[in-house]
Amino acid sequence: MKMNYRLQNNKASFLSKPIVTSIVILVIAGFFYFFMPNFISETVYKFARPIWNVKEYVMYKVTNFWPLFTDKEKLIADNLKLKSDLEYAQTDLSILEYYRKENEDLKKTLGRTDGTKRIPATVLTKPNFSVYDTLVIDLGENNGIKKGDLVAVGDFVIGEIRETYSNYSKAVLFSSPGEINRVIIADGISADAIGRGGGNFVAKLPKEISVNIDDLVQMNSPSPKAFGKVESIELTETSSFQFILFKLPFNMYQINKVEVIKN
Amino acid sequence: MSKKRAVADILILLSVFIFPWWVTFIVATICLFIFKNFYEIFVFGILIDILYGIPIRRLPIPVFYTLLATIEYIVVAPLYLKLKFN
Repeated sequence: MKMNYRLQNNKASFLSKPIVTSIVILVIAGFFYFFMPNFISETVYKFARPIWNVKEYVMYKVTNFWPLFTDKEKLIADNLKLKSDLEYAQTDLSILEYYRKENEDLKKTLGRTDGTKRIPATVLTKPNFSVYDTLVIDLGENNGIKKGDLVAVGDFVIGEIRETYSNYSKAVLFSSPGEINRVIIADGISADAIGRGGGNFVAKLPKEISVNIDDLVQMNSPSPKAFGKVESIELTETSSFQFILFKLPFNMYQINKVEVIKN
Repeated sequence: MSKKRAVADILILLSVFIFPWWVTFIVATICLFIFKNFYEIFVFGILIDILYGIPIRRLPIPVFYTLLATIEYIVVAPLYLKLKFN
C-alpha cells in the first residue's frame, strides 16, 4: 500500500522561499520604478484608456436601461418634481450669472483680474478606486497641465494636480485623509480643513466662534474659491473647541467632468 | 500555466481597471489559495499603485498595494502548501 505523507525535513526553507521570491520581485519592480518610472506609467495608461472607455459606455447603457424596470408612476412623479426644481434652479442661476458678470466687471474696473484659465477635463477614474483618493484625468503635459494646478467642479475647488504624464494627470483630492488646507469659514474665520475622505472635511475652532449649518467654506484664492458647506457642528460641554464638519455639496463618486485651473 | 490560471489572470487584470481595489484583492487572495506560487498578485498590486497611487508623506513612490500584495503572498503561500498536504 502506498503511503503519502509530508516530508519532515527542510522546515526552515519552507518559510523562506516566499520571502526570497517577494524580495526578488520587489527589487525588479523597484528598478523599473526608479529608473524608468514614466515609461511604465505611460504604457499602463495607454493600455488602460480603451478599457475605461468601454466601461463608461457599458455603464451609460446600463444606467439608461435600468429605468425600464422601475415603477412608471413613480418615474412620472419624479420627472414632474425634477422639472419644477429645475425651473426654480434656472431662475436662481440667471440671477447668479447677472451678479457674477457684475462682479467680474467691477474687478476689471479695479484692475483685479485673476488671470486664471480653465481647461475642461474628463475624469477617467473616480476616487473610490483606491485608498489614495485620487482622480485620473485625460489631460497631461501635452495640454499644458503642471503639478500644483487646481482641479475644480463649478465654483468648488476639489483637488490639486500631483503627477503629470504626457496625456494623463493624477489629482489628489483636498478631502483625502491627511490632507490639510487653510480655509475661511463663514465671516472670515481662518482654520485648517483636515480631509476625511469622500468629500468630507473637519475643522477645529474655539467654541466661542459662531458658525452655522450651511455656512460657506472658502479657500483663500481669487477664483474659484468655494471649498464646501458646513454640514454639522460637534461640541461638548467639557471641551473648549468645536468641530466643524463640512463637505462638498455633490457626490464625489459621480463626477465625470472637472476643470483644471491654470495659474 | 493552466487554462484556469490564465483565465483568472485575465479577469483579475481587467478588474484592476474596472472595479475598486478591494474586489481585485479579494479575488487575488482567493487565487492565492487555489494556485501554487501565485506571483501575479505582485503584478496586480504594482499596477494599482501605478494607476492610482501618488507619493504619500515621506515615501517617494506609491507602495501601499505593492506592500499589501507582498504581505498577502508571504502569509498565504506557506498556508497553501500546508492546506494541500493536510
